[in-house]
Amino acid sequence: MLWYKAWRESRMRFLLSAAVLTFLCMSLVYGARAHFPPPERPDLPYSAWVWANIYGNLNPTLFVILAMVLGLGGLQRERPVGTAAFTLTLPITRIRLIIVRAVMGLLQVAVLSLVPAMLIPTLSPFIAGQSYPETQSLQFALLFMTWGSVAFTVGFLWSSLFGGEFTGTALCVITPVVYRILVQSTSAFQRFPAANYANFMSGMPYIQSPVKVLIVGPLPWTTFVVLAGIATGFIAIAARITKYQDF
Amino acid sequence: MSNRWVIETYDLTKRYGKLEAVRKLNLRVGASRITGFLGRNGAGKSSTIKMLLGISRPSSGSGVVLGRPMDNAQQSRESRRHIAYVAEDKQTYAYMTVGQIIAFTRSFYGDWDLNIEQRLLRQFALPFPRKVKALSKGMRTKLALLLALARRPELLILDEPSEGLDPVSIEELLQALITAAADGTTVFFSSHQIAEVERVADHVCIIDRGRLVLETSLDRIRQDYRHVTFGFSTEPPPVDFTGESVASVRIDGRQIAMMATRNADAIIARLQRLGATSVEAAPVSLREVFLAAVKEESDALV
Repeated sequence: MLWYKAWRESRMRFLLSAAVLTFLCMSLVYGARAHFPPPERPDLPYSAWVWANIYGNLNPTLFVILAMVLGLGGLQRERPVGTAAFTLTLPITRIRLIIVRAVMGLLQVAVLSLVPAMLIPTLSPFIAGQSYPETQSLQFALLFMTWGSVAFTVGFLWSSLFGGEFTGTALCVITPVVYRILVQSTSAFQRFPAANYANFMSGMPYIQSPVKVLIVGPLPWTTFVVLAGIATGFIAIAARITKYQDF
Repeated sequence: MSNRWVIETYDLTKRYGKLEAVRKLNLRVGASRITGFLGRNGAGKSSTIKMLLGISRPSSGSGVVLGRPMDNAQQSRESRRHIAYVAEDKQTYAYMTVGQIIAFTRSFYGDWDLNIEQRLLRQFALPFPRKVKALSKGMRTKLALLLALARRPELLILDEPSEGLDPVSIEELLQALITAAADGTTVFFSSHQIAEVERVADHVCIIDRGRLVLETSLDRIRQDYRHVTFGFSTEPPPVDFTGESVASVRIDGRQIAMMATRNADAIIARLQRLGATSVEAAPVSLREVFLAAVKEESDALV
């Protein structure tokens, strides 16, 4: 039943995020029916249109913000609502509470990252009369899922420190923007392309043809493992903080 | 009545920055009793309860609840299987319905009693499909009691259970506590509503400024505590009460008024020998005992 609790407490944020991504994908394919190819670029491949509207530009930042917002909630949020004591007197450890909420959130991030992967290849032929390779969608989904998981765990960490309704949300908006500026302006980060979530999620290091904007070559599995390790680290820090907190 | 202690604390202390909310508290709560935990607002009652339940950590000192150390996470979780807690605001998850929160809570307790659940659902007339957020405070209290009692706890802890309730709801609450105790559950509840404590409790622990200032049984208060007023024909002689069981003394003109906590007859005999011409002895209410205990603590700090 802890899973049910975790689901109920994150359900609204998850469904809203899914609705935002669905809206973006639907806008893309309906926009393609009316405006693709654009008159000024009649030779533009559909894959480049998809990249520009979904995987590139500001959409990685939007996804990171949505993932971080999914990380909010938890015991610090329950404290002002008055339910923290009820939760903490159940015969379960705080660590179990953390793990259930983290796994639920990571599953939700995975589902969100699959929304464009499901919708674009499926809807494009029917609505826009275009095709988009499913393998590309799934590869981008993996990139979104990996960095989205890190973003989720950062939001998760913030939520173990701040219980205010607006503090957490504000941090989820500010953190990705500040981080992106920091990464772009610090030379040390240039050696690690995956550190720049916008670059990584838009597949920039793995795209060889700037015209077709398709991922070519093997996926960065080592980077996936490193990012998964970082996400696990953030959850472990949040768990340690929560373990010793007073409510 | 058993002499087993279900709660024992040893120099339990809780500090919030410079504020010492609980100071070297040595508390003992016996099994199969109703113990009232009395104190003024901010006396340290809620802080103590939170430490007993593992919701907050002691700054120093330790404690044992149901035979398990409360500062060990695993042991504390194990003891929570046998403890039910009703918090002051009685909040449960607002987004669940009454039926959902019952099913949710039931899933954590293997010895959940469906008969008690059904009986209390009928008795409290709880609306099964209604969301918790739509319940009145009285209904929330009844729901919290159902969730607490249906798991058949060894120990039921309540923090200011009657706070904000109407008289009818208070009556139902007190009846539920009496029934739970009769069924073998130890009840430990904090309150500053002295009349309620006096009605249902067997024992009282009075805390003030984080310190335990009195721990006694209601029976002893009824039997031994006396409010005694001595009248003298002239100025009363100086009387040394050192070593006597006297909680408070007030000299007012030709009268000495005192609260004797034991051996009132011996004290009366002694003051009659010293020339008291009239003696009035009356039982003492818990309210008077409480006021004397917290005043004594305040005076000691001046």
